[in-house]
Amino acid sequence: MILLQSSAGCEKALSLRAKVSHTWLDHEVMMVPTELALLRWQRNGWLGVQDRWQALHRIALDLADHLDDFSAARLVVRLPALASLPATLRDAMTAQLDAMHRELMDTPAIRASYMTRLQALWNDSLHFFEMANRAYEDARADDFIARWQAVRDAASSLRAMFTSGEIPQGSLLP
Amino acid sequence: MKIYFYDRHGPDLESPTDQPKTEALRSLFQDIATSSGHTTHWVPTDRRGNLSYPDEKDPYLLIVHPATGGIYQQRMLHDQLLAVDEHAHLLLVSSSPQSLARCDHERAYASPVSYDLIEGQQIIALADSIEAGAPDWQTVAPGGDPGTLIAYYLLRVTGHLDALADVERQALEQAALAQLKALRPDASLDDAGRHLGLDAPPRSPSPHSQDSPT
Repeated sequence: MILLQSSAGCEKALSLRAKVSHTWLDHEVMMVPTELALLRWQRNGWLGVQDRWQALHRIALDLADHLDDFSAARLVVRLPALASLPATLRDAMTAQLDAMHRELMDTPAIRASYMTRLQALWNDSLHFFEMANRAYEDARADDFIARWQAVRDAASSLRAMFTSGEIPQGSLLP
Repeated sequence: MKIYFYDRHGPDLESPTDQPKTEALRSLFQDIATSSGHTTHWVPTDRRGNLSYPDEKDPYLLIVHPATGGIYQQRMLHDQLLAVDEHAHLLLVSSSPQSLARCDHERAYASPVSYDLIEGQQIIALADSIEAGAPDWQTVAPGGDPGTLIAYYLLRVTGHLDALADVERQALEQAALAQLKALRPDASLDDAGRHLGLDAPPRSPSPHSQDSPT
């Protein structure tokens, strides 16, 4: 796998990837330990966060539709060195590279796994916000902590798809 | 085409600074403004240094000298880079390898380059190529984006290299070899894939990744 820069055909997918993996999972979840989450609840600090997460959730759904962008076939129309080739040859290359990509990356299976984990995260998030959006109750702190931990576990599971490379960091060359 | 600049020390050309790199960017800005058909603009920032990105509908070149000092600046950089719209062709400049690595992480498809490599004419050539629809980042980041090498590899791996006329194939091979040498001086085209980092086996999913958020 190599990360291309100017010639990348997957800018949109990479942008979505960064927002899901880094903006949402890293910054919004993994960097918020239980103590901080609880402190935020005590200070009404979770109010409004759900709206932001809804936007991030939509971005995460959008990413699922762009997983094919990591195919090297997308590079054929982007690389200046290939621009002068006959269209028939470039079409043939595109088809071949797409076929190779399917061997390299089982996109349907990855998408299915991604959607399952994303749905789990979203369900746990909604469950968490049911409580986080209400006023702090000392007696329910343990329940709150359990709900936040469930969010973190689900986020960690989803994040593993990014850190493992299942969801690539750039165009995949065969 | 429009070329936007952002510098962490601001656009005020008259303000004193002890940052030679900032001076270099200001000088670059002026060179381009006076010697090309492209228009140059500073990206406006508020009093806290937050960027206000242009709402452009056409491709534009955005040159960013990011603030990467403390945690706040890092978070701000993160937000800033992700907020860039899809029309932006982002060129990150810094003299710090750490900053460049961080930028690359935050905005994976940006093209980070050291100040030392930049000249006004390179920026102008890049803007020209973006305007023409085929950004040539080699002009500012030699070896940073081996597009011709990738093209050669794709032709080879799909078995179409022989479809080129001899003279075309030889020219492509020479250009690809030059890019490969910039990456690995002792490499040959026979193992271009390996030197592009393609020899590494696909990483298997691991729930225990050691990657840590930054």
